[in-house]
Amino acid sequence: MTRVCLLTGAGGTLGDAFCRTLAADYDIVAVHRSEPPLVSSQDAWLFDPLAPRRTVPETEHPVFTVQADLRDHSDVERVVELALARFDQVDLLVNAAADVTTTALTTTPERVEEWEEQLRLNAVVPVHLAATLADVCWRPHHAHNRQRSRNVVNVTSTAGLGSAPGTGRGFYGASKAALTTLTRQMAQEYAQLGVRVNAVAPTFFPQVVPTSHVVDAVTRLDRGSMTGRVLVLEAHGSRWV
Amino acid sequence: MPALPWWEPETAGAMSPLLCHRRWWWHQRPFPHVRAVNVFTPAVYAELEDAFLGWLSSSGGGATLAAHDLRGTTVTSAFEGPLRLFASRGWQALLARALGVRVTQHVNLGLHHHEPGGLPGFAHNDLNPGWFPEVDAPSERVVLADPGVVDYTSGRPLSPEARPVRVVRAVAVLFYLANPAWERTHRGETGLYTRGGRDMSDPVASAAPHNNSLLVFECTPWSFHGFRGGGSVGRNSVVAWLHRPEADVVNRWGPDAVMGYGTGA
Repeated sequence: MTRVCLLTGAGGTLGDAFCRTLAADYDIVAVHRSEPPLVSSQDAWLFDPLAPRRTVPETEHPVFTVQADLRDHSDVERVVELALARFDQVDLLVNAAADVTTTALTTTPERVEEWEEQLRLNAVVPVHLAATLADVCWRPHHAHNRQRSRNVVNVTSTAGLGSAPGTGRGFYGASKAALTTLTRQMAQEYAQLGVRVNAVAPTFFPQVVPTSHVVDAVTRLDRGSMTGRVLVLEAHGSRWV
Repeated sequence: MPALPWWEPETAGAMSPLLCHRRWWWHQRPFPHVRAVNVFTPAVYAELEDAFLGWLSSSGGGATLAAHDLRGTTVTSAFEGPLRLFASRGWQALLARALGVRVTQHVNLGLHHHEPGGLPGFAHNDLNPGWFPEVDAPSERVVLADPGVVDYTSGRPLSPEARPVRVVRAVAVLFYLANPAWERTHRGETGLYTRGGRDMSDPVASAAPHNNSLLVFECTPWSFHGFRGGGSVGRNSVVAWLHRPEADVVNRWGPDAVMGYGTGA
């Protein structure tokens, strides 16, 4: 039975690459805020303009796209409802949506709402999504969760590993540090549900690390048996922390 | 050696050697539309771009279209050169087949130039009437709008012998070309909306004016779209409308579906 993946940030660099690479391997619920990933879906598909009624191979594995602003609580619940309505289960939650805005901490106080929004999307929303899934899908099915190796992969960043994240990246780094900490805590609490929780922490992609390496890291965490681990991806290779 | 044939493609299939690839995108939201990038082969596109830039430099962009804050010209049968590809039966047939729309032989073809900082337009559906000169021509031949003979938007005859023919827009076409390599700050997108009106700020989807890219859709009561503003570099495009008999529109959407020009709906 094909594994079902609920992916946030599907319109971003990582999300788009994930969908392009793995649409045949997973049933993907691709959650995007503005532009959807450039893959065939229920809303958009490739066709041959000279033979428009003939199905082309690229449309064989459509993803299921959902437009949502996950900072809105009701949208988090709507996304989970739609995913379950479409596929009846979720085996893998990939929290890849991120606000990468950079602002200096000396900037005017008017930016405080943007900082709060960034913290909400990058650190609170991943937990909110997982908790909603746990509540409506995972909690009653401990054995089944283990059997299907259900798990959460949070996409954090090397900016959240304690070193200076760079000028203007204070709140971004703080949000990713929070998500890294939350990943370890989630791993402990979700163990009782039979659900694993891990994180991948890449440096800049695609500038320093190829995006394909980040996609590979997500699938490695999905296919493994680890929990509470953070896989760091840097220019010279990967390491666990 | 020119990449475009000396003849005009007569069928959709005859367009095949001119196309860069055979994968276009069909989008359902907010209304069915087709988008494609790298539409023509690089050699064909280069000829089209050169021809457009030649027109732009020689004409200054043509006359001002007051309702849309842009300049442009209507391509008539007297127009020569590579841009006639867009007036060919083959191009018309390709687009009509891609959308699954039955069209008449009538095509209104224009060259548009938005200046940097050009004002946003308004969301409208293009389900408007169009008037063409009646010509004694085989039904497979393309008949272009001709502002020297019949006023396209009112049907007013401009020559004593003109006999206007009224049809309705069936397919809208925007082909973007001769623009700087597009970046988000350039703006100039065509926004796609669920309703008409002056608020262009929040489109459901938008088509960026990447060179050699295409936006095509059937004109329906819900095909709301509009120019989102010129941004820092302006925008160039070839636009066209294919047409259908008015009875087809009335049968499908009722007698009130055909809109007057300049309305927000």
